[in-house]
Amino acid sequence: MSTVLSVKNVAIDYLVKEGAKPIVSDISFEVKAGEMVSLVGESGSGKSALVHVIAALPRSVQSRVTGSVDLLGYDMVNTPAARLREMRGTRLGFVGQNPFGLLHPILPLERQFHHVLSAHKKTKSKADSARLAEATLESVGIRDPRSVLKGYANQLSGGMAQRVVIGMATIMEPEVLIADEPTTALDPTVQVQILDLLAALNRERGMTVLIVTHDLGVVANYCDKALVLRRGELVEQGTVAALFTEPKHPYTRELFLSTSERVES
Amino acid sequence: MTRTPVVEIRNLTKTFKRHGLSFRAVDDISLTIQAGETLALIGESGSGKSTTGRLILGLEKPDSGDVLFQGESLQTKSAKEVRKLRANLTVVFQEPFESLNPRLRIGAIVGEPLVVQGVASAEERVERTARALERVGLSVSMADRFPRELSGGQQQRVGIARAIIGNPQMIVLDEPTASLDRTIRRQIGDVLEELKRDLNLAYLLITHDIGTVRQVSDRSAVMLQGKIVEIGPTAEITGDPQHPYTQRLIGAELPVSVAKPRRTLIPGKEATL
Amino acid sequence: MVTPIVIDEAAVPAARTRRHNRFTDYAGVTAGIAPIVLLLLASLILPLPYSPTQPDPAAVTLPPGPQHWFGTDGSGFDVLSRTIASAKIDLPVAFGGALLSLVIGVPLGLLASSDRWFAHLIMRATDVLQSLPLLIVTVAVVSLAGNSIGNVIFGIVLVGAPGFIRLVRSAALVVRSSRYVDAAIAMGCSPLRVLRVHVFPNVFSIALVQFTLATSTAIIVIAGLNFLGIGTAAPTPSWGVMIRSGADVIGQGYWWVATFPSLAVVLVVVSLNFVSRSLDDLVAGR
Repeated sequence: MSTVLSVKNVAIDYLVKEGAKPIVSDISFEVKAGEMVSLVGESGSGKSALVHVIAALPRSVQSRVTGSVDLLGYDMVNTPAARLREMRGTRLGFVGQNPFGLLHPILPLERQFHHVLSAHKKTKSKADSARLAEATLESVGIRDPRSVLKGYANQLSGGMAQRVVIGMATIMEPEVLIADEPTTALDPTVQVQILDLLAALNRERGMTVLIVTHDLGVVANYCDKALVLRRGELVEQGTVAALFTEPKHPYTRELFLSTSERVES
Repeated sequence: MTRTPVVEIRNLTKTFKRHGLSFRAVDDISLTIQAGETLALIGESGSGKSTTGRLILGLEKPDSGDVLFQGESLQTKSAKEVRKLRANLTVVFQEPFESLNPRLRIGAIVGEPLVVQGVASAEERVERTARALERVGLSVSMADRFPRELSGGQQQRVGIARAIIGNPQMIVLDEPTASLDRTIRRQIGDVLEELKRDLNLAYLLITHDIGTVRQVSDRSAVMLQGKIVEIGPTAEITGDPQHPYTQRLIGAELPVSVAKPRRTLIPGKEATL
Repeated sequence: MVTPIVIDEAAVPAARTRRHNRFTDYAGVTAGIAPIVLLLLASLILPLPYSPTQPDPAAVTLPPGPQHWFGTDGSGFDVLSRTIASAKIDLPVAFGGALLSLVIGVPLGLLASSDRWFAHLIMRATDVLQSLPLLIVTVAVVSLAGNSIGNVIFGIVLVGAPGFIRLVRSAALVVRSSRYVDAAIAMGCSPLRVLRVHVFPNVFSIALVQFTLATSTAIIVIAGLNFLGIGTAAPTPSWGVMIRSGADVIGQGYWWVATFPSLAVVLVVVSLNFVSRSLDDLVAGR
């Protein structure tokens, strides 16, 4: 299996008024094609910052990044944004925690899909875009894609909006999908449907999925491998089975034990 | 033999109007909570579980129906009398920081129930505040600090200390650990368990987390769109759910264990969300 | 039996220490207040070169020079002395008017944030008040009640109080929807106690910032009314009156008569706005 993501000695500092605040220090790991990997950590672990650097997404805080991130052959730390544009959507998809933050509030969804598709020259006409969008929305489980497309983001529930975002992120069949806490804001029954959807995309298309979460239930039930983050350090990594049965680091043990104890009883 | 429940709600209904449309948040529900028991009110967003909690606490007025405390209807009482009864029925909210007045010190926050009810002298208040803080695992020196100086877990402990200082009979816990990290959740859960045993408290636990429900509640009621669709001992609700929605809810639980096989994928057209 | 004290996560809520900035904010407040305080002190205790109320008819419309640093006006008054002396009346009246606006506006704003009938009454009255043109109303009051400083203060409150009412009301509404107010009601707090202990303290700092802005507006209101001849009788010096007499002669090239009092007004207004900005940062940072 080829390596799609290679992170080497990445450190991230936030440049705040008081000086440089270390968020992530010296992290290295690899993700292979077709894996479903989770980046697990609690608040303040740096997982969100790390994943934004991996996807080369802007942050509101000025930051300094050292180390290297090789994603599908692109140097995500140093390549200028204009050049990365060609791989966005086509090879790398991104889904965030708040779907409404990723959908334009005023444009009809149809137009948003058309923007995305025509920007990458995947379709020539609005009609082509609409057809492709409809098919995509059906595949992500939306029952009436045509009326959803004619409508607006604020008419959707959280779960449906997230499905639309996933549809938009995967419409051009990227090789990698990065999901930053995609279900944290959703109800349990909805969460399971979204995760099932991501798992289906992973299985059927071989799409590599990197999912950031703090929910160990997600890790246990959906992921092959996990990377455990604590206060900016990669404390342990390995297959999910190994982490649950033989955690090595005391933090991992505490994290996994404070929950698995419950299940056994 | 039936004992008088601590809290009983009868045919409670609450409708909200939003942008000209009205919707029934709570639709004719009835419940009892006995002394010393933990009842979980389970549901997802829009189920009406939080509104039910707010109705019991007096933060909303019901459109119809009644809330009874120790068998006495609150409707028959004056506003002043109801306020006096509030000492027995306290609350811990989901958001630790927002539940505390940022301008007051911890000591004043925890001691406020005693001031409001006028039940203790200044010295007694200091003493009881100290004891409440210790009970929840905080050092007494915290009393001089401000909420913003505390971590999330500590802030939630302050909220719990405030809830127990007046020796209540029941606490309404509205998703008390949802905003906290996993490792902290366990600690707070332990504190709540211990207090329940030591002080013989009844809990109304409002949540959507089945894991917590399993762990701490005796009975569970499942809410959907303002109605209770199923109610019974927790073991039965979680082990053998009867109502289709309950089954979906229990089925959506993600057990934190690799012992069970990975979920099978059923990508269906279920987008009625 | 007691759960052992546990040291929790190291993360402290981000709303905390910006000590670096707090210092600059305090410095900003001090720097902003300084010119105003100095001006006021000067008007009260500084021995002025010439009398601000007794003109020297021989020294009419003299340009700025070694004898009269700011020149003299058409009646023979020394512009410098009168500019400084004006502060003695204009500044206290402005503060007083703004303070009265606060004293009236804050309680009304708090009351307007509740759900009761008088809340609606207060807001409708505020709407009406804000739709009135200040000038016309004040002129009407003056023709009925006579010309006095009292009327100027009336004009200030007319403009200032609605601002306080609206601001305090929206801040109070936000506080009322917070969880700690829920907790207070749930524990049996009376509505009055909720206002006194929970709403008011969390709203007051915003009112304080508004106070500095209201003072700044008041200075302009005073100058404007005085310019039109309302409020201050000659020969009492005030910036508005001085600008008036300056405006009369500026066409003849006597630019200094109006310029220096105008600069005084600008100085005070800018300083107050500066103070309000630093105060706002200070208050928000908490």
